[in-house]
Amino acid sequence: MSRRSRSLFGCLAAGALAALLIASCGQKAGPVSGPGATGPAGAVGLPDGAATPAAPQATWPPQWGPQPAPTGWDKQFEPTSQEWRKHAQVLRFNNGTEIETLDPARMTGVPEHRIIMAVCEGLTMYHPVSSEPMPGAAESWVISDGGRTYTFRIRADARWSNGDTVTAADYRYSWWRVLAPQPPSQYSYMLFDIENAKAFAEGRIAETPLALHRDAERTQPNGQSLAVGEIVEVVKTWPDPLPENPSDEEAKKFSVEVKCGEKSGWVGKSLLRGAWQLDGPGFAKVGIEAPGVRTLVVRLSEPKPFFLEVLSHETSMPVHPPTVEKHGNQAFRAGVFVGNGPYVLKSWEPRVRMVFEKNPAYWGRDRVELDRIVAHPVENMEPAYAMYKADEVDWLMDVPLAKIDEVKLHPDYYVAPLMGTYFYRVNCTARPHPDDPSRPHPLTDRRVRQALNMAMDKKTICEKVTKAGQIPASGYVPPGTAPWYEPLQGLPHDRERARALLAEAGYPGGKGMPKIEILYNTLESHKTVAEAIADMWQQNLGITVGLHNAEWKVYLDQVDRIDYHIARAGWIGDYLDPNTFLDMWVTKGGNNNTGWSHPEYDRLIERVKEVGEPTKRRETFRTAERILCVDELPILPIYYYVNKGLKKPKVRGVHMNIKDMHPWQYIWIEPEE
Amino acid sequence: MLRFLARRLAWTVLTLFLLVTITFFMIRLAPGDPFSGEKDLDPEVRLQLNKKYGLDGPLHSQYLRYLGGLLQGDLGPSSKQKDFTVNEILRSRFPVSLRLGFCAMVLALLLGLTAGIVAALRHNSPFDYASMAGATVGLAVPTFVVGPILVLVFALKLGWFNTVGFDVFPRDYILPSLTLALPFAARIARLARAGMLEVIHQDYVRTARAKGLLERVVVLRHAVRGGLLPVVSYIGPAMADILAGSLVVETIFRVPGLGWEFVTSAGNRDYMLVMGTVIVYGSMLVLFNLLVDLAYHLIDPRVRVA
Repeated sequence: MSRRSRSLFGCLAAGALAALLIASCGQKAGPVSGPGATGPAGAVGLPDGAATPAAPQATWPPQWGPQPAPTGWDKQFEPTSQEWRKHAQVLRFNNGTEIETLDPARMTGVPEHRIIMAVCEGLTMYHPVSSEPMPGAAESWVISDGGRTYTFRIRADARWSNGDTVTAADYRYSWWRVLAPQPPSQYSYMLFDIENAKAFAEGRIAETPLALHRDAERTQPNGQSLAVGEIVEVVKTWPDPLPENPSDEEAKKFSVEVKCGEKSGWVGKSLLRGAWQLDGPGFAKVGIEAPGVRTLVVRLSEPKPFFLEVLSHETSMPVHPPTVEKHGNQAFRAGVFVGNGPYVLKSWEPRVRMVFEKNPAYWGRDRVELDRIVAHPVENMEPAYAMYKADEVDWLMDVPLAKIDEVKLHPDYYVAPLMGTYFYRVNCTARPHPDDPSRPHPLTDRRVRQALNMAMDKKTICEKVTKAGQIPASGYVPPGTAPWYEPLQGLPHDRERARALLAEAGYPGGKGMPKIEILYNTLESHKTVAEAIADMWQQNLGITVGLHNAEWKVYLDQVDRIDYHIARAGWIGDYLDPNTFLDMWVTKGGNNNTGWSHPEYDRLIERVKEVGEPTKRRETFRTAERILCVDELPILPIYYYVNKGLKKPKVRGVHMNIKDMHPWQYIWIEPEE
Repeated sequence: MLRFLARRLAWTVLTLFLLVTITFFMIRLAPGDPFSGEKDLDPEVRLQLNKKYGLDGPLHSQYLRYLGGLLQGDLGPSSKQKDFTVNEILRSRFPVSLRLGFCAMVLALLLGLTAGIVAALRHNSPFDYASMAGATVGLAVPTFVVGPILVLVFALKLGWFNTVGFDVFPRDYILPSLTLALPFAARIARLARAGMLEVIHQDYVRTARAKGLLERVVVLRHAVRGGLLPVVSYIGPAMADILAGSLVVETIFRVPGLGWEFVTSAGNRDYMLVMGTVIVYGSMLVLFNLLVDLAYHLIDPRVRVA
């Protein structure tokens, strides 16, 4: 989903632009499906036995057609007696860092998500056990038009913390804010499945009528114009060809020659960006409509099985429009912030704590048990662990790795799978061997990469090095990502085969192999893993391996420029679908960063967008992952992440799930007898 | 005196200007940028981010814009703590660092002067040896060792204090101030002892003793005044060191001060906040040195600057 073009103009290439301009200029808004609209109600079934029994409300993948109206609450997650009422309902946890912002549109991280879940509510929310989407501020929805149109019914009693009614228009406003250029939203792509959302965000929905100019270089908004009218055809671009990686300055000078009625002239990029107003013609073309106070209609450009889950993501959470309009950047502070979640922000002392109290205006207030939540931002795990031991926090969501042997023995220690993979990127860019320019670089040979993978004893790494319960990975998509997708059993640890493959590639016993360096960002845990792997490669393959550590931002820069041999990496999925792991490896994908390119793989990932049928979808993903982790190995999977921490037994209602997301309204305090 | 002051002030302004300029361009040389992360960033979004956080346009025009803002007291937005401006961050963190630094300085003076003066008066006594040995240890053991030991003993074992936090005075101030103060107390003790030993054998002290003055009066009125000059000259740089060096202590005890921001902002490439903290620390250093020079000027007539 996050596959984005690296070049600004990659997506603005003249041809595509032409098509788009014409399409967007000539297009009329499609018919709006009202609240009563029902589409073809052919339910798309799961492979047998794929549904998680622990999550009775799971609607995964979403059923087309009208949905039952679930209450959003489930008896099985409530306290069984009134015993808990005798205890102070206060939960103190360590959030691990100071949050970057309280603005859902600008958030990017997990700590931010934990906080925003308390004070805001999306149309859907994460199920406490399965993490699958369940009704949040929307009480029900209808999926029609073959999975392209979603009609949400917002709860009648949904309120903002200041008492205002939560309306469909509030969501429309909030998503407009995400897609508009300011404030900049790094996760705006989460909403790009919505019709025309991407084009709007990238300024490719042209404003009509457009002003046409004689010169390519004089296309300022208030410059002299030749004619005004609708664009018919894009003739050429200036400069031609468009630069591959333009600077900001060059980007400003970009113009397109277009035909407009009888005349042809130039349109500047600033004009192409069109109007970004909420009520402008550009946003009217985006598939978000609020035909009623409680009715929100969302049209997707193509069916997306994981769209409901996207609506639980922080980027989709609403902001209170009057507050944001009035206070701007100051709207996201204690005392000013208005949310629609189960809690309100009582106080926020940066680097000290955030305090949340029950929101009396929340529609489900009777079911919210904790009166107060205190979030600490302690980054260093050593003092955080000391706080836990001194009973100053009830829940640590991470543990000091240096003390893992001691922490593991603590009775409150827990470990559970997480939807993430720790792996190494291999630089696959075509380049010559450093010592022998007549040969290609050994890392461009897939046999060498296979050998490197098989020479790694991942089980030993998990048991002796990381030690927290990590799961050795031979595939890339972590177990549990989707109930219908089993983890891939990739290449095994096999020293003999690894040696044979290396010999076959022309490096018997490592002879002729240049020194290979493992790049990692400076952190003890990455270092120990890299040391172990370097040792295994040296022992098993006879090659020379060096370690290269770099400060975080320097490391990111090197990975981005593919300036490394082997680089440590980690990836946490955005949503419960293998796509969130597999679509990043397409040719020149924004997160590929290995130089690896495989046409067949690209084709499979492209095809999966069109495949709705679950079995076919699974097979397509499986074939792609096999190419990635068995045949080609531009990445070497090492282990699947786990979430690990310490939690007092009195904290009840927390269910470990692979997204490590725990809705606050399910948690209560009740000491064990 | 006025001319001296005016000249020093002019130098101060020039120093700060150079500091701002050099820092501004140096931090941009470091690889990476404020918005890079493990996930790829869309160029269009990056463009807008740069615009929002004042990083758009060529570097020299950014520099001029920054200087313009600086003259109006506007230090720009923070690219990491996105809901706050650098001014707000400095305003909330600096007083905390100042409070911690002040407590640590008072503690360091209290401990250091007592130990140093008594050691000098009981020269070559067991107390002298013990306190100087203690001072050596205090200098040698780094704060990141002392801090956790204090936490272990006084917070976890004895339960007298919270392990972290900086809320309630004096409870939450004692451990961090003590940790921060120890190396400085050690330096002060050694300086005070040396200074006192030098003075105590001088004629005017002997004269005071010969007059039959009480020992207390001799020490407090005559010996201490001359003997503590080295300590006075040390207080300025020490105060600057305490402020800038409180990073480790701020991390261990989770003190929401400026030291933490100073280091993390560089790691985050939060350019505006780096500039802000550098300006504050730079000003402090220059200011304290200025004050020391002035104090010297007043205490010791021999130190007259033309």
